Amino acid sequence: MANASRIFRVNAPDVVSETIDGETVIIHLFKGLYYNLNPLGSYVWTQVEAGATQAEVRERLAQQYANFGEAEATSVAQLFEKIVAEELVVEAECADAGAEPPAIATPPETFEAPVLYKYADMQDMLALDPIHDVDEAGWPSLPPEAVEASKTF
Amino acid sequence: MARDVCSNIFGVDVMVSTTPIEPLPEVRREVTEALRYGEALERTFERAANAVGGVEVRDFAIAGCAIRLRFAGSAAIAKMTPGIAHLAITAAEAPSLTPDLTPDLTIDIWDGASTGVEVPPAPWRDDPNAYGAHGEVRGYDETRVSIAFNMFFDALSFLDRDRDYAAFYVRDVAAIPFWETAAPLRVLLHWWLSGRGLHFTHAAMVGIEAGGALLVGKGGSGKSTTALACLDSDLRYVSDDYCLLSGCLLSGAPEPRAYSLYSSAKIRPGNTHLPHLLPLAYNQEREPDEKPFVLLHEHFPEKLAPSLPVKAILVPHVTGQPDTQIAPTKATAALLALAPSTIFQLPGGDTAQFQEMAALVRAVPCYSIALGTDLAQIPRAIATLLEQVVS
Repeated sequence: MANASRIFRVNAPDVVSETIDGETVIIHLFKGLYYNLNPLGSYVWTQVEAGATQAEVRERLAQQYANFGEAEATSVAQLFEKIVAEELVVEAECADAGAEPPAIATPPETFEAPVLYKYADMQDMLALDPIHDVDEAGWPSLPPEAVEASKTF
Repeated sequence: MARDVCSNIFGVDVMVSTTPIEPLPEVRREVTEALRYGEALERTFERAANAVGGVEVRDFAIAGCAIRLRFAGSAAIAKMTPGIAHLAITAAEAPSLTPDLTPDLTIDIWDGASTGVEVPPAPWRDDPNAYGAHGEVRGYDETRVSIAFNMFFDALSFLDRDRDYAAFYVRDVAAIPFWETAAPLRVLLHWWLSGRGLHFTHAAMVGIEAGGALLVGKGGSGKSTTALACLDSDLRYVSDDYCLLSGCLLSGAPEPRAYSLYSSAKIRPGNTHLPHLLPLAYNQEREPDEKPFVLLHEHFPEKLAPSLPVKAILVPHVTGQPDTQIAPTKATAALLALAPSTIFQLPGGDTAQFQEMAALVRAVPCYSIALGTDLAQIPRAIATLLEQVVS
């Protein structure tokens, strides 16, 4: 389990995110992946953006929800693990003094386990394998299967 | 428990890559190298033009910007202009745009096969990490210059932003695919127009004079069919696939507006809803794997609107049921439908582009539209919605 005292920052510029009406949309520009977070996940995300540690987030949630117990704490910890594993956030050396304040001041009214939805249906628009094959003039070439895929444009 | 869910908001299964993607190493290149290459491209274009009898000029007004295409000979004209022919301007229509004056952007276009003049070797040719995911050349100061190589048909796009100069070279005109003819110069226009506050957007747009509905979603979501269904109604048509959005909402500019860019409408294989459009296809003699596309300005000129203010955002989905219904939806649903398919289509998608789209879905009411099989209901439902939101 991730160290609960670590501070993270959004993995910019590869990752961009926007929180609107209590939900967050995240795009990993380099990987061709995109995500959204449900309201509780979105609350956690905005706290991370603001420099809160996992322990601090857990403490705030425990204050907010009477039924916040071990299972709920585990679900939050797992969300931290997911956003780290997906490289949506990276560890920060220290809290960002200029960090934006959280877009959501309070968590959702009821606790619903955080969910990270992941979408990969745009990856075929990117050449995810590095382009190393070039001719003597420096022009790259695509593998035949990619050329075939282009016919569906 | 926290879950990592692989799904799609429209109920379509999606594929998740399980292969780790290694980040590309950082690359830094001197921008002067790229600028010298641009000057070499300009000289090469002149040699190509001289080789085939001179320069052919075509002028276009795109979202209020005067864009001049200079062709070396005529070989590429028929492949590169049909999709934007509705925006063509002549000296008579725009006296200020004469050969003596400088247009907002000039694009030199030539091909190696017909002119016998190829581009100079790339200065980055020995760098194994030169290319990004879209074939863009990495490492130069992108506020000044952008370069990309299209590997699907061997074409080079070069833009020098300070000089408002671009070059587009293709090895062989014969290799230009139908989708480039239908929607030419996407990369160059995306790069240059974004600097003018005009965002290349993957969306359809239809509406009434007072305002339109932006239809957002990836390919196959129904936005194109929706836009084309509106050709049989009183609604005006701006786009069915790509449009330009102005607004700069972050800087507090006036209302967002969608501008016409391409008048081509591609008909997806298996689309049984629009059989009346197939006989109008521009590419009647097409390859088996080539989609038919219709140049709408040739057949429905009265329907085309050069631009409309954006008053609503619609997220379409196909239901298979007869009736069409519109209901409010979350702004995040609209952003999920709009942003990824726009950002991942072209090189240069970045934070600012995403923030602009987020500002758009915050500012404009968002709806889902459940598309019924009775196509006549679709424009009626959209018209009713628009009359409500603009009143």
